[in-house]
Amino acid sequence: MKKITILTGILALMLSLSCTRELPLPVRNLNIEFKLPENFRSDIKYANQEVILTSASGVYKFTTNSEGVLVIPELIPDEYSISTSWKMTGVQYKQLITDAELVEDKATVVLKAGVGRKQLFTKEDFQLELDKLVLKSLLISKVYYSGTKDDANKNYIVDSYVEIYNNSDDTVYIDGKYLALAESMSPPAYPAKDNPDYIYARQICKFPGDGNDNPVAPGKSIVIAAKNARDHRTSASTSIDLSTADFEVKEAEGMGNPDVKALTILSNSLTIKFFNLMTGGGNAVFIFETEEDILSWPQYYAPGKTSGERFRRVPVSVVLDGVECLKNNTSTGPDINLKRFQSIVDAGFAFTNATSGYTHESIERKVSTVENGRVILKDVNNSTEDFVITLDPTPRKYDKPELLN
Amino acid sequence: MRTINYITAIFAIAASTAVQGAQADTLRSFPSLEKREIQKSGMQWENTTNAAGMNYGSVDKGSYTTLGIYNGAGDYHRVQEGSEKRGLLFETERYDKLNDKIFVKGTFSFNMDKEFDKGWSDVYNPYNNNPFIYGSSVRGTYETQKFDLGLRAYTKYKSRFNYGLSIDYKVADIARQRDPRSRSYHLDYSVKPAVVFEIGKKHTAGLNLSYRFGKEKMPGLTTIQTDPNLKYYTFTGLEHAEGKIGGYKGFSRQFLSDYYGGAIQYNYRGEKSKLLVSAGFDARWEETLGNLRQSPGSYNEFTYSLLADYQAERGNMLHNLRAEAVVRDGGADEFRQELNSVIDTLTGVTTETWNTIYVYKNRFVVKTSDFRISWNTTSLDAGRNSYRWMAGAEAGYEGFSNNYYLPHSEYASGKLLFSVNGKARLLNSRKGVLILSASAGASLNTSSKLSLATQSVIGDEILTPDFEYHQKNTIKINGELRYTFPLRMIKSTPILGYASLYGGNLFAAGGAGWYSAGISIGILTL
Repeated sequence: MKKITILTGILALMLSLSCTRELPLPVRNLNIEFKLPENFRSDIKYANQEVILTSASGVYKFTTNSEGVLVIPELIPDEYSISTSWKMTGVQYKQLITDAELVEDKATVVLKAGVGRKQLFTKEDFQLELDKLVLKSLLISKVYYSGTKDDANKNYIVDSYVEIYNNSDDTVYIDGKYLALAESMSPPAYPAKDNPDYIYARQICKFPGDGNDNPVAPGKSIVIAAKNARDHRTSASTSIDLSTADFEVKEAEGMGNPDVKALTILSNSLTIKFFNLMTGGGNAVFIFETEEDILSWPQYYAPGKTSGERFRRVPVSVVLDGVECLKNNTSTGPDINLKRFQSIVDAGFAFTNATSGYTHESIERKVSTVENGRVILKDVNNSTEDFVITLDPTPRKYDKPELLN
Repeated sequence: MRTINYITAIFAIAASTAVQGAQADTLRSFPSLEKREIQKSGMQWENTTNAAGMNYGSVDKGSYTTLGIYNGAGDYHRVQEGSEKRGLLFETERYDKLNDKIFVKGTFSFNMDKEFDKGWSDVYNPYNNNPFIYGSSVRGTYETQKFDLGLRAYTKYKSRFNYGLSIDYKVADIARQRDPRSRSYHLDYSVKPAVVFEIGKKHTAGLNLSYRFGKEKMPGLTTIQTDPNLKYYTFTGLEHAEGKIGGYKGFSRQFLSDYYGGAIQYNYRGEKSKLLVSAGFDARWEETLGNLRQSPGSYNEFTYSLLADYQAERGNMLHNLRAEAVVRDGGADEFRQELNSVIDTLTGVTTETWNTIYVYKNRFVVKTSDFRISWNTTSLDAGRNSYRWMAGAEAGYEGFSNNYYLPHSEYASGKLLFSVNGKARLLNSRKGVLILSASAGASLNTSSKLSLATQSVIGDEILTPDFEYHQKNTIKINGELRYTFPLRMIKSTPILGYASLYGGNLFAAGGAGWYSAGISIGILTL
């Protein structure tokens, strides 16, 4: 009987020990201080502004306090991309600064901070510096590169395109601006984490015109067929009509749709004559503007190589907009280490669900608001936040339900 | 239709051999299945993991072999289970001795099983287990083949110490028959050395240790899938899962587990009664690995078990009272990892490794408890080689809880179980013995909770329907008719043949149900 009592006691002890598992704890009372540019008045704080933290498991929104500090009472330990922005007019901006910076009254000025994949596993308070951007009007609004299946169930990959949208209330001319694609070597030749000031471009196309030839009206966009400007629906019912594209990437006198203007590749590390968006990603697409002769900018081989592709180095300071579309890996998802764009260009990243493509998934910018019938697209400089995946890649279409969420 | 043909054929063979056998012989000189049942019920130590204690029981030398087919189907099942199961089971076991000091029991079984309309899981056990499972939402048929080999060896020295060893080796293969087609390979082996020590003439203490290795590996999926939007899901616990379009491409995973454990026993053997108490503990450590040894997390589990078995003889009545408790406490550590790529600039060779940058300790916690108490009484024949009837009752409690932390979600349920069972010998002639068995039971849900922090397709498609499954009270009835008969196939070897037909049905609240039926034939040889 005594032995039974002992055995029962041992079991009870083991059961009680089993109930004492160490559980994961949240990060508590984390402070993030937002530092305004130096020319701001000292009494101005980054107060009552929304800050978005995005992890693999969710999106969390917080608001800074009156001192311009974000106090997060509880946060799931994880890696987060952090983004915030404060948009104001040129008039408002000039009231907040101490110097006499020249900014048009009608301009949109954005203060923004973005950091990708910040490890927030413990309570370690930190500061984020806000960068000032005088907003240009043009945004990349759609990047479609996944391809689809044709009516014979074969892979169909020639229907890719990029769309550029005028998000301002003034007409903008695309003449002389550049559309470019960053290098996408594997392993990455020039990842952003090692190159804070430059993007290394595989292909750069220059829009034709003398300054007044190719207008983009407010709320309108231009479509650039990356490979072939035709109605692809005749071959693949899930594809799209690109016969009405504004530009087709090809040689000036090259083959293609004669009714669509040519967008020629000015700088090319490859021999191919189309815009080389890859069906599975990653595709880091950007637009920029410069008065300089880009052909005078240096070109570099991948580190450690003395042959193969040479990538032209583009300063980050000339970039108007960029969208980082990472490759989605089967078991691990997108790898942020492969990012080519610095946070100032794109604090986040977009990706398709498909790992190899052919799913007619398109990456498209969400709609922020509609003002007097003009669609204003979302732009917090974080494509994780700004973009959404849609299975309807139709160009120039902004009333898709998924864009409105 | 094929199943019906099988059943008809087996019945025909059983009936013809029974008639033929009965004409030739009587049961007196043949091994008895009832006697073996009585002897096995007296082998109290077989219910423990200590093979050395089998020394304190005795089963006549001989082999018992069965071959059967079974079928079960219905709509009372969990989402990650199929709506129909068909299978074939071959089992054999033999008690024997190598010499006067060393005795053995060997077992072998082969199970071929087909589970229809199963989805959301390509793993062997998706419930109350390692949460890092995977599967497709498209339901399909799964074919399983399992081979189990077991050996128990024990000594019968005339000393205070005796020794034993258990070795088990199991392999299995599970193949999904619909795109995306997965194929999992399983390996599971264990070694359990044991010792018993006679404290006194009537008192014995026992100790055994155990090591077990388990491996479940899915090398990759094959598909001719044409739907470009087909998703494949990887789970991390409760409603947390990621569904990726084309995620089956290049996906592979394996679970590697080590179990360490042991148990202590105490046994009292009186003139007319005996008691065995065993308390055991097992610790399981399991790695989950993918490509390049990427890991979503690890799992550990502690199992505590207690068994008390009391047997007493009062005249021709044999009473057996048994209490069992098994409690499992599992926890999964979830990993955040990053892929580090190092490029050798001279050679251009890239080395990639996954580094764990954060561990969520016990982010997913599983607890299960299973308590049973049962009583059985047997009315023995005068020679104690057979029984006239048996009757018994059982009560128990089964419960589980799954908790996911940050954010906290909880899923739990518990139920009380009651059942009665009985056996009656309907025919006991020189030509054969006919035994009818029946049982009836009920389960009563006592508590259930589903509280999810986030809305997801897993919550909607799996956890909510499963929650309804657990909330339902059930009634279950089963019956079996078994006929044993002498069979002389080889002139000098008396063989006992048997045929059994069984079936049952489970009735759940709301009209859901699950039926099961089967037929088996077998032989018992000396």
